[in-house]
Amino acid sequence: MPTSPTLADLRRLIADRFPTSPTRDGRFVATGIAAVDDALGGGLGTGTFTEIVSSGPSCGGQLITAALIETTRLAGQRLALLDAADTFAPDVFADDALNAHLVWFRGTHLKAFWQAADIVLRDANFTAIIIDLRALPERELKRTPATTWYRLQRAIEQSEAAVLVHTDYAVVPCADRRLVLAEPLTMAAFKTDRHALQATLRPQLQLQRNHRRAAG
Amino acid sequence: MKFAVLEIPEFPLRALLRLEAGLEKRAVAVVAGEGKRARILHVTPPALHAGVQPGMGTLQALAECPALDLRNASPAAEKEAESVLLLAAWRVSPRVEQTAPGLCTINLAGRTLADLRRDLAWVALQLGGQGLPLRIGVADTPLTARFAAHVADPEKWVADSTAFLAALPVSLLGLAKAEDTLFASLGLRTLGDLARLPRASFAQRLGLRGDRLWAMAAGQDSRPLETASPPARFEAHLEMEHAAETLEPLLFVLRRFADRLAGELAAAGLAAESLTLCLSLEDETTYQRSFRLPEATTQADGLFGTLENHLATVQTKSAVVAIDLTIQPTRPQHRQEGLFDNALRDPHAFYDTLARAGSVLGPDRIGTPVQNKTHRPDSFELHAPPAAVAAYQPKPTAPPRGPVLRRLRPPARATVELIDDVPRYVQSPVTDGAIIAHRGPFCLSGEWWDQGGWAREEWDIEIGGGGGLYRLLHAPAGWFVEGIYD
Repeated sequence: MPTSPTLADLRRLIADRFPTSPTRDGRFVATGIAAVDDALGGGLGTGTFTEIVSSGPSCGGQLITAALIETTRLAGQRLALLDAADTFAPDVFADDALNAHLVWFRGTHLKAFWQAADIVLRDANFTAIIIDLRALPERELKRTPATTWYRLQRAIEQSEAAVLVHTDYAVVPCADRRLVLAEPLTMAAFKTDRHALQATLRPQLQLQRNHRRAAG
Repeated sequence: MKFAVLEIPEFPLRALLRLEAGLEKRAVAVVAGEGKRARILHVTPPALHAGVQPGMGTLQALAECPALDLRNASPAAEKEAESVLLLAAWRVSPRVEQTAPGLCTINLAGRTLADLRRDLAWVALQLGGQGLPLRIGVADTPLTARFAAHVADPEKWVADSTAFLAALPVSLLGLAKAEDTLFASLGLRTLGDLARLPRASFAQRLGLRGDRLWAMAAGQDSRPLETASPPARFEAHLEMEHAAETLEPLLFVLRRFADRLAGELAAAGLAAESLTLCLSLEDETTYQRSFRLPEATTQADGLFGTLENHLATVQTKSAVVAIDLTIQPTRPQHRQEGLFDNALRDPHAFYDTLARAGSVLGPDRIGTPVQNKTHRPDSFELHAPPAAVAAYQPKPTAPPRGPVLRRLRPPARATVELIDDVPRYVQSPVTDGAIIAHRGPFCLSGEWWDQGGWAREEWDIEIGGGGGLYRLLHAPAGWFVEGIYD
C-alpha cells in the first residue's frame, strides 16, 4: 500500500528531529555461556525482556538458568527466579553456597504469579530476574493479556533489571531479544561436564529490536 | 537570654487535627465542659467562617452552623502531640520541662545565639509540617519566656524584660475573680502598674500570693525546671473518633506514629528492631502482627513502609476503633561489610518486596533454597534471604556433569512397559513414546532406621524422535515421571 505524502512527511520530520530511536545505556548481564551472550550481543540487556524459547523438551534452557545462577553469584549480584510451574530443583549445584544470592518465588496459580511478578520486577535490588513459564498449559498462558507484559516492561525500565523469560513458544510481545533453542540433548549429555555441555548450546536469534546502543 | 518556651496555640484542636486527615477543612469545634455548661473552646477556620466563636454554648454554635462537628478534647491525641513537641524541644537542649499541655520550657544554658536561632527555626518548621504551628518566646526567666510565647507571632525575643512585661495586662497572671476585682479597683491594669508598687508593702497586704504575683510581674520568678526524661518505651496509642473502615485513615495515623517514634528512637540513640501493630476492632476482637525489620533503623519511612505494605493486604472483619503501635528498640548496628559482600541496595525495599510477594504467593513459597542434610531427593528448606551475602568461596568439589533436572511437583504418574526388567516404553501426561536409551536403575534409600524411611529406584531415559530426557521414578506406589532433564 503506498504511503500517503502526509505520513511520509511526518516520518521524515521525526527522523530529522530524532535521528535515532530512544536508546538504552547498553549494559548487559552475562549469562556465562559464550554462545548465548554472543547471540544476545553481550548478554541479557538491562531494563529489557530477553525471551528464550525452548521449542522442545531437553533443549538446554535449564542449563542457561544454572549458568546465570552461577555467573551472578560469582559477580556478587542478586538473582530472582520467578518459577511459575514450580519446577526448579535446588540441588542443581553440589555446593549449596552457589544458591545463596538466589530468591526463589514458587508459583501457585497464574493470576497470583503475575501479581508477584509485578511486585518483584519493580525491586531494584535484583540485577537479574528469571521468569520461567515453561510447563504451563498453553491455553492458560495465552489468556495472559499483552497489557500485562507491557506493564511489566514499564516496571523493569525503572528497576533496570535484566529479565530472562523461559517459554515453550514465543509469548512475550515486548521482548527485546528472542533466542530459540531447538536441538534436544541426548543421553550422551550425562557423560559431559556441565560447563562443556553449556558450551554446546547453539541458540538461534529470532528477534532483535534495533533500539539498543552498542555495548560499551 | 536563658529560657525558651514553645507553645502550640489552640492545642486541643491542633492535636485532634494532626491525627485525622482532612479535619481542618471541615467545621469542627472542640468543646470544654459537659451538658449545658459546655462551651466552645477552639474552632477550625470553616467553623469560624460559619459564625461559630470560641466561648459560645454548643446549642448556639449549632444554631450558627448546623453541620458543626463537635469534638471533645482527646487525651490520647494530646499526649501524642506533646510527645512530638518534647521531641522537637530536645533538638534544642536536653533540659526541657513539659510545663503545661502544648507548652514546654527549655533551658538554653550553653547555647550560642546563632545556633539557637537556627535550631528554633528548624523546630518550628518540623512541627509546622506535622500540623502543629508553634509560638516561640525567648527571655531571661521561664515565666517571661512564657508570656513572650503567648504574644509571639510566631517568635518573640525579649531583650529588655522590664519594658516587655510592663506593657502586658495583669490578666496574664491567671488571677482569681476576687483578685481581678481587687486589681481593677486599685487601678492595676498592666504588669508594669503592679511592678511599680513597693514589693514589701504589697506582700504585707496580700500575703504570700501577693508577693508571688509581684515577682511574676517584675520578671523575678526564676525557678529550676522539672526536666522531662526521654521515653523508655516506644509506644503509640489512639482510639479513633470514628471507626476506620478504610485504609486511608489508618495510614494517616500510622504515618504520624512512625514519624514521632522514629524521632524518639534517634533522640535516645536507639533504633527499631521490630514493630508490633495491634488493631482493636469494632467486634471487640483484635488483629495483632509483629514485624521483624531487616535491619535496625531510625528511618520513619522504613517503619511506615513496613506497616503500609502489610496493611495493603489485610482485610479485617470489622472496622478499626483503636490502634496501638509498639517498637522494640535495639542498639544501632555499626559493622563493616566485607569488601566483596553482596549487600542490598535498599534492604527495606527488598524485604517489602518479599513481604508483598509473600502475601500473594504465600510466605512459605519465597526464599533462598538451602538443601537439608540428607540424600532424600528434593529435600530443602526456604530461608529468608540475607541482607548481605558473603563472597563465594569455591569448594574443592567435582564439577557437575550432565543436564539439569526440572522437577515435576508432584511427579506425573506413568505407565511403563518393561522388557527384561528394563523400561522400554512410557506413557504419561508429560511424555509418551519409545525409550531409546536409558541409565539405571539407581537405587536410593535412607532413614531406614527411622519411621520416615524411604527407598526408590530411578532411571534416566531418552525418548525417541527427539522426545527429550526424563527421570523415571519407580516407587512402591508405581511408576512416575519425576522430571525433565533440560
